[in-house]
Parts: sequence; C-alpha cells; structure tokens
Amino acid sequence: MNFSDLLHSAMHDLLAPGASLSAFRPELTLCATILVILLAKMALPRWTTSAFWLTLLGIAAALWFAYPWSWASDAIPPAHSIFTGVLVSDSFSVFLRLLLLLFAILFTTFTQVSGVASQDDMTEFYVLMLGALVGMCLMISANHILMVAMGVELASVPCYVLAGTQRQQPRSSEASLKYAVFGAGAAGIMLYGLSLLVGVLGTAHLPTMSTRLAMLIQSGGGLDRGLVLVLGGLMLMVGVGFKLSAFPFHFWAPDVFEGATAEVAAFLSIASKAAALGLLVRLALGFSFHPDPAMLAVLAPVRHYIVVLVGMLAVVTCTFGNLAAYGQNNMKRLLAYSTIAHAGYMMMPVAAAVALVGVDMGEARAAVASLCVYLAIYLFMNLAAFAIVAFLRNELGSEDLREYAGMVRRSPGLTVCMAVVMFSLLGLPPLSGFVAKWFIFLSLISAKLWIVLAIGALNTLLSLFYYLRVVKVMTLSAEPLHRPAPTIPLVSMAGSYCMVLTVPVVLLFFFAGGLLNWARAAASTLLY
Amino acid sequence: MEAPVLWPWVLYCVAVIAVAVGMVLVSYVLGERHRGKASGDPYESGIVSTGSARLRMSVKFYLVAVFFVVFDLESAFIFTWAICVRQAGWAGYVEILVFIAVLVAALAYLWREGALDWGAGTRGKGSGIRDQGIRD
Amino acid sequence: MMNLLTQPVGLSHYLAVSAVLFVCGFLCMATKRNILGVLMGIELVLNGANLNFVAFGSRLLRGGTSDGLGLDGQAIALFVIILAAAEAAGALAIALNFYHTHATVDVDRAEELKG
Repeated sequence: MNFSDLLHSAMHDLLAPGASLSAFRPELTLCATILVILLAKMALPRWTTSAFWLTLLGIAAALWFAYPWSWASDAIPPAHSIFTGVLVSDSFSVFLRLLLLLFAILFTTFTQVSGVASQDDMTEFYVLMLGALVGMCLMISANHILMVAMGVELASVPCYVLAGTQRQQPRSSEASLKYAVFGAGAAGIMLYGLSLLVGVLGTAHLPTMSTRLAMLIQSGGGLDRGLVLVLGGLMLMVGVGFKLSAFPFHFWAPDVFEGATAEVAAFLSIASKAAALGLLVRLALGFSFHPDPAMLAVLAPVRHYIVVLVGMLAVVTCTFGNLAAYGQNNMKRLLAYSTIAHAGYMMMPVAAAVALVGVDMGEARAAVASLCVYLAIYLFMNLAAFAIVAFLRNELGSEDLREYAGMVRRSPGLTVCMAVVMFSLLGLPPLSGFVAKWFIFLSLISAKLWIVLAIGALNTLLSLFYYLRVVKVMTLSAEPLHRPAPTIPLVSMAGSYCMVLTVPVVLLFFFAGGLLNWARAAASTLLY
Repeated sequence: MEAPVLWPWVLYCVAVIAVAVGMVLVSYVLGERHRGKASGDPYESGIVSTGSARLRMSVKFYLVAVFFVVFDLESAFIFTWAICVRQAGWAGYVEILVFIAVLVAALAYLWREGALDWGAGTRGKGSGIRDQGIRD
Repeated sequence: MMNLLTQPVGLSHYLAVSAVLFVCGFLCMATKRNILGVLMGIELVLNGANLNFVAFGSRLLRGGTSDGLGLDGQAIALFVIILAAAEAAGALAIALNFYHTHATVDVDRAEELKG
C-alpha cells in the first residue's frame, strides 16, 4: 500500500457516516468544552462561575453521546476499531467511559460544594480536569501503542498540576513536584519499554502484536529476542504500575494525597486508577489473546508471564497497602494506603482473566466483569470517603483522625455515612463493598489462583482494624477538650452530597444483579 | 565469517590521541611562561574579569521560553500536513484549520491572561498564569 | 562489540546509542538532586525511546523488508516529542512554584511529607 492509498483510506475511515468520528463524539465534546470554557472566561469575565456550569454542561453532553442509546440489551454490537485501528470501540470502553463521565459529574459538583475551586483559578482547575479526562478516555480504548503513550501522558500531566493547585502551600507544591518528577520518570521508562516491544514485534497495533508474538514463539524466536520482550514488558509495567500505584511504584501516593487537596486525591484515586485498570486489561488481554485457537495455544508462555507478574504485584500491593495503613493518623494518608490496597484487589481479576483466556473464555469475561462491578462500587465508596474528609477539613481545618473524636454527638448523620463507607471499603455483608469483593474472589476461584485468593481473603481481615479504628474514634472516643467536634447536619449542601453518595453504597448491595448485568454486557465483546 | 580488519581503526584512535597529546606537550615544552596577577583566572586575555558569571535571569524569560517551545513544536504537526497537502485534500485542510484554530484560541487565552505582557507596569486582568510565573 | 565496530552502520548501532542514552538518562534521574537535572535525565530517556522508534520504523535499516513499523514509528516519535515538551512545560512550572515556596530546587529538600 503506498502513501496515497494509506491517506485515502484514513480519510474514508474518518469521514464515512457511522465511522470513527461518531464513536469519538464524547471525547470531542470534552475537547470542545475545554475551548468553550477558555473562550467564555475571555468573553464574559463578569460571569465568575462560567467554568463550573460549562464543565457540567459539557460532561452532561459527553455523557449523552457516550450512552449506547441504540443498543438492545440482548444484541450488543461487536468491537470495531476506529481511526484506522488506533482506538477500539467496544462495550468495555463504553462502560468505562460512562463510569468516568459519571464520576466527572459527581466530582465537579463535589468541588463546587466543598469550595475548592471557587477561587480565581477555577477555570484552570476544570480545564485540567477535562484534559485529564480525555486522556483517560483514550487509555481505556487504546488499541495501538501510540494511543497507550498518548493516553497515559495526557492523563498524567494535568494531574501533576492539579496536585499543586494550592500554590501558596509548601505541602501542595511539594506534592505536585514529587508526583511530576516520579511520574515523568515512570512514563519515560514505560516509553522505552514500549519502543523495545514495538521494535522486536515490528508493529504497534495491539492485535497484530499478539499475532507476531505467537509467530515469534512458534519459530523458536531466539533467547535474545525473548529477553528483550521480557524486559520491555517489565518496563511497560513500571508505567502502568505507577498509574495504578502498585507496590514498588506506590510510594508517591501517600505523599501526593497528603499534600494535595482531598478533592484532587479523590480524582487521582478513582478516575486515574479506573483508567489505568482499563489500560491494564487492554494490554494484558491484548498480548495474551489471539482469535485463532492454534495461535492461542502458542501464546501460553506469555499468559503465564502476565499472570505471574500481575498476580504477584496484586498480592504484594494489597498486603503492603493494608499493613502500611496502620498507625496513620492523617486521614488522607490512611485513605491513600487504603486505595493502594484496593488497587491490589482490582488487579487480581485481571490476573484471573488472563489465566482463564486459554481455558474458558466465558469465565475470563466474567473475571473482567467482576472488575467492572468493583470499579463501579469503588467509585461511590471512595468518593464518599474523600468527600467527608474534605467537608470535615472545611469545618476543622485539619485532616487528623484524632480531631474527629466524638463526632457522633454533633453530626450523627455524617458519622453514619462515614461508618457505612468504611464498612463497605472493608467489605461487610449488607453493603456493596461485599458484593465487589465477592465477585472478585469468585473469579479467582474459577481461575484456580488459590494463593492469590488466600492472600486476598487474609487481607480483608487485615484491613478490618484500621477501618474500624476510624469508626471507633468517631463514635466511642470523647470529644477533644479544646474545641467541640464539627457540626455538619445532613440537610446542608455538604451533608446531602454525602447522602447522595452513601445511598448507592447501600443500594448497590441489593441491586447487585442489575449492576452485574451491566458489567457482563461490558465484558461481553472482549476476547473475540 | 572472516576475521574483521581492526587495525585501521586502532591506528586512527592512536593517531587522534597522539595529535591531542602532542599539541598539549609541544606548547608546554616550547611555550613562554610568565605569571601575572590574573594568570590563574579563566578567560585571561589581558582583561581581569569582574563580577560573577552566574547571572540570575528574570523568570519572565522562562515563560517566553516555554511558550516558544510549546508553539514551536505544534508546528511539527503542520509540517507533517504540509508534506502531504495535495493527497490530504480539502478534508485535511479543514482538519488542520481546526488544529490551528485551537492553537489560536490558546494564544488568545494567554494574551488575555497577561502572560505575554513584558512591562512591569501593565498588569494583566487575569490572575492565574501571571501571578504564578512572575512574582520576583 | 567487534562486529558493531566493523560492520556498516545498521539497526544495532542505533539501538546501542539509544541504550546509552537510556542508561545516561536513568542515572541522571536517579542521582541528580537538582530538579532541572532530573528533568534533563527524563528528556534523555525519552530521546532514547524516540531513537528506537525511528530506527525500528526505518525501512532502510531493516534491509527493505516491509514487515517493520513503517510510518508508525515516526508518528509515535513525533507525538512523543510533543508530549515531552508538554510534560517539561508542566514540570518546569511546578518546579518554579516549588522554588517560590521553598527557595530551593533541590529534590532532597522535598521531605515535609512522609509518614
């Protein structure tokens, strides 16, 4: 194919009705929103809250475009690649994109209720958030190494700046500096690893890469090429692990969460992590799956490598996060370690899915579906936890757990919300956190990853004490003498916002079936 | 495979080192020696240096440099369009127009924020970039 | 090493240079205490990756076979250059802000947050 034909096919692919551009409308809407916000600030300087309303409007429009209106519940269109194969549009990317946009709506409201973005740099705050959101949407639908690199960088760079939005505070600037330096380093290493993988396999298109990989293994390959591939895979895992805050690359998370505002910490711990998990699923399944059964059998060593790598990282991350959360008195640090542990839980089904790819495709899809369920529930739990921390910070001026002592007398509603969220993060039965963990452990059982399952279950026990400690301090401890505990009634803006987030945490336990159907639909077009 | 012929390369390396060492040695042996007040200073060519070489540049230059780097690199995309302008046709033309329009919007925003103002007296209306960048 | 020195310049020479760039950049990242030094190290690593992408994409270096990366390599390199610039701009702004609050650009002085 010569250059002119290539260009012609790209143009046709772009502009033909029902082709790439229409599947890309949510992302384009977000990009347009960024421009409109900037222009509105220039044209209408008097309208001080323009950025907030326009952001809300833009995300709502993107949500409208992202929702699969034309899909019947029993006939989901198969995956199709868009923009000449650099992105893939399937039910998995549609589900995760809906989740990200839903989170963005809740998050934008959250920043307004808590007042973090009501200063004069509100415009920049929302522009950066939307930019990161576009990057995350690219990450979850990446089908080409170019989009992997683009998505990760586009999602990371605005986050570095977001972590430092409170410019005058030394802690905030330190947090953003650490995040930027470590993040840029991890991204650089990841890119070098990608260049090795791409070079040895001779293509940057993920499905073609798996074909080449199978051919390489079939032909005996040669040890040197295999070594380069293993090295490239490890380097790639550095970048993805950093975004996930998986074990050896987790160290930035507590520092950044403590230095940044609770709002930004919520954004990093939910949206950024969801996108990183989506990318991990794309990469792990992309390298380990091939539609041809003969080729699929050949790829067994690759699957083994990925299962061991991801499974080990998941187990260590989970255990480390839970152990380090003990003895933390700063709530944001405690929640940071808690999110590290949850990243570990969420990596487990990815390992299970890869282990099941050669064995039972239906079960492998079920494992991915369990990850989708976990992400949806985790969104509400974690956002609620950070929201309560942010509102209490507004009242107390402190994020120290010991300052929360005796809160139950002054603001019982909020204490109940916090208790519900903590028990749900822990995974106790009448709450949705239990459902999330349950499905993940089921997927581990069907993948026969007994060690991972045992350590995961043990970790749930381990995490019991520090989640309970939060509840204990809020209810049983006596009020501090020097000042009364904070008073946030449930009928205030802050209180009702917490309610709105806590109610789904409870309800999703009882309506878990509906969520599971969605998640199954999300995973149904993978692995074909 | 026959044994590689390495000696020309080794000879070349030896010659390079010999020339470099020779030049230093010859000027050391034959050169005139005298010790003046400023002989030990760098850049002594009869003029005694004054002040520190470590000038502190104003942070304004940083902003201009960053804007230059960002906008300069975006032109790389325009160049890639330029080499295939005929094949890309009108659709490509519209796409690059959108791209340039986004760049212009960004430039207009920077202008409005006061990031392009040089003088000390003219404070921009906006607050974000200017206060962050130029404070000392 | 022998055949690298005697053979005509090919793919492996480019890979050797990019590996040296990567190692230099990595060491620079790991050992420098000045933020600007660390950022320079990151740029070196990215340039090493870019050299790989372009070298792997070159039809000439692959001996004319068409199973290589082709234009993809150059496209990725182009995007990486732009992303590196954006990242550097952001990181420099953050470094500047750090200087305003801490009066230093020494990474080791960022030690207030730990637990």
